[in-house]
Amino acid sequence: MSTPVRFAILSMAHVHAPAYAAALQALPETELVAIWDDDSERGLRAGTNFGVPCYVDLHDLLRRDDIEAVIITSENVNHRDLALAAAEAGKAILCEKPIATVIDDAEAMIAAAQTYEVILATAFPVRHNLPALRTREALRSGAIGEPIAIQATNHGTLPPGWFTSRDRAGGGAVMDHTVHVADLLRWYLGQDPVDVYAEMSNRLYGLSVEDTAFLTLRFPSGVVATLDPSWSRPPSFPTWGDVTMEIAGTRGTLQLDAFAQRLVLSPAQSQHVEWIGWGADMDRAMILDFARAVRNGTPPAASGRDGERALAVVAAAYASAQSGRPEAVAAPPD
Amino acid sequence: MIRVGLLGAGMIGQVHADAYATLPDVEVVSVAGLGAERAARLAEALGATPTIDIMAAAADPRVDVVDVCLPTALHQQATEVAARAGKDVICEKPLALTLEAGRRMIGVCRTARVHLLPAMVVRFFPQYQALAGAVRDGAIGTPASCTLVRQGFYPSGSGGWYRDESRSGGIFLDLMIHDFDWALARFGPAERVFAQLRHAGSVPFTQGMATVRHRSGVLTQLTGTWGHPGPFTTRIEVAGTGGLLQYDSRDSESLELLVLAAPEDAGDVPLPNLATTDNPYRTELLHFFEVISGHAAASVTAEDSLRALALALCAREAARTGRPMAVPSEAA
Ligand SMILES: NC(=O)c1ccc[n+]([C@@H]2O[C@H](COP(=O)([O-])OP(=O)(O)OC[C@H]3O[C@@H](n4cnc5c(N)ncnc54)[C@H](O)[C@@H]3O)[C@@H](O)[C@H]2O)c1
Repeated sequence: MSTPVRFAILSMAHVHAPAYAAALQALPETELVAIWDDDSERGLRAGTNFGVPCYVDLHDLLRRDDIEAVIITSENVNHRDLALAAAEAGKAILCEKPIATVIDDAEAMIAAAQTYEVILATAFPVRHNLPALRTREALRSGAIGEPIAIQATNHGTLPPGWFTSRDRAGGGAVMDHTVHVADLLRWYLGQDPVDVYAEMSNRLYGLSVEDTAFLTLRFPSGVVATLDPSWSRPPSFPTWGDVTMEIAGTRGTLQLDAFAQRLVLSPAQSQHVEWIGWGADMDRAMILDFARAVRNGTPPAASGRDGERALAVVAAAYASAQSGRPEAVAAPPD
Repeated sequence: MIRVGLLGAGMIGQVHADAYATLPDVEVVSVAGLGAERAARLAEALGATPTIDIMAAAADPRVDVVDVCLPTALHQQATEVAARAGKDVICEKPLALTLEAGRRMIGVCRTARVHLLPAMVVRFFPQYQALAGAVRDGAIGTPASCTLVRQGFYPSGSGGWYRDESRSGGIFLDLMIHDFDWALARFGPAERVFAQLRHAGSVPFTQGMATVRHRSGVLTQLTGTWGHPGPFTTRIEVAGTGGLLQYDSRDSESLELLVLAAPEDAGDVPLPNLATTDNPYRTELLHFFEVISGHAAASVTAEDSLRALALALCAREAARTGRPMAVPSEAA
């Protein structure tokens, strides 16, 4: 690649923001040049950490012509406004998942990217997780024949701060943890689910949002996938959570544990065992893929539409929890 | 000395026979099976007499207790014949294929004043007992959710009866009944169940998936697989306000034998690897004989197994209709 793609990070609100900033600085193909944050204290701290200026006025940052791309890592509900402003300023956009909290917002973002002819990508790093990629290759090569049924998990610990606020996150565990697996399933099977059944509860933490859920997704091919997106790993759990999938097919079964490549650390000073992942860095791979898309005009691994399609599964899950029935996953426009 | 008539000399009959060989104060006097050769082999090992007349064996005046290890479709008839002849009855799971049949079995045994002890063996597996004990002791606070998985190869049974849903009840009744029972015993009655069933047209593969909302508010997700290509696998996970408890049979092999050539026959029905646990089938039978001789109260009752059957039937129906089913309260 020629010159590095110059990035700004819009908001340090999301827990992934520091990792993305570090990846931007580590990769020769990318450069972090600025940060914007509506929380000026948080922004200044990040700016100092990463040695870049932090803006308090979004438009001052977006006016800078040398910035080609932004990563949006704000609270979920703010994705829309930030993306619209960035698109209007002609910046390529990599937006943290979920792309938005409601379909209308996602559609507005997709439309703005089209209008201003900028790339809109959704941050689905698990597409860049090597075991998850190998799973797709194995499926495509017919290793297990035709898929029949899938058991998936994307467990997590209770996330901090705004993640548990309905107003800012748009929901709880289902909003936070459904889209990674929903996206993988679409990517693996090449189709959207027909409908979703969901049972939810908030028994673990008693918050206004759900912490526990079991989803069942039915696909046009007949494949049925169950998904547990619960925040059911306690604070003592050795890591943040998991992404696992067992895919049974007509010729065999694939068992994916996306983060099984780990060391086990038993510290003398603590009660808690820790897992230290040593697998290939999926965040870097995702950012590199996006930077190449910006530089070469190629499509990124996961588009804004992919983000909206995964969000449609979330919307169906919430509708199902309301109605007590399986609810259809809305079709994309035309 | 308690004298037992063993009905069924198939896969589970063999497992029970192995346990009887080690039980004190219990004597198997007859072994009944259609395959005369197999019944004869089991009988010889136990010093019993073999027979192919199964219902006569159920009423054999020489026996005190009848152990029904027959295909599920025969449980009701064998139980009623034995009970009317005054025998206590141990009956393999699932209790019956329908609630009406199960209720009649319970009624006939009650009228005859004999025990009806359902072989819900998972209750006697040490890891499931340890997990239930830890949950009961509050190790994870208030439970919120539970995941139960049970996967093995596709059983056939004498004459292929497992593969005929009208004779085995299918995977919800035959395999997943264990986990339905375990969830009901831990988390209380079910409010509703949603379920899906998948078959592979071309190969013997079946996966049942169910989500249960208990009246207590706990959510349970269950998966059962026939045709799983790996070793027999069971998993449990319970998440609560005070932590997380997990069991995975794949992590628990404290002894593994790796052989160069694959063994010729893998057996008829998937069974857990028992080599490194207290044999739960023996624990189960030992407990039942304590109940029969009046030394213990039954830790699992025919009513428990009827409730599990009711939930399994609701799950099967939910899978057929694609709609969640309300679980009737008398059954729940
Ligand atoms: N608790 C467990 O872990 C467990 C495991 C396997 C089976 N089971 C239950 O045990 C019972 C027996 O299962 P199995 O696997 O031993 O069956 P099987 O087919 O291996 O054996 C059945 C026995 O019943 C005899 N039999 C009598 N009449 C028959 C008929 N009309 N058709 C077929 N066989 C007939 C057979 O000759 C044989 O001796 C079933 O209810 C099953 O669900 C329980």
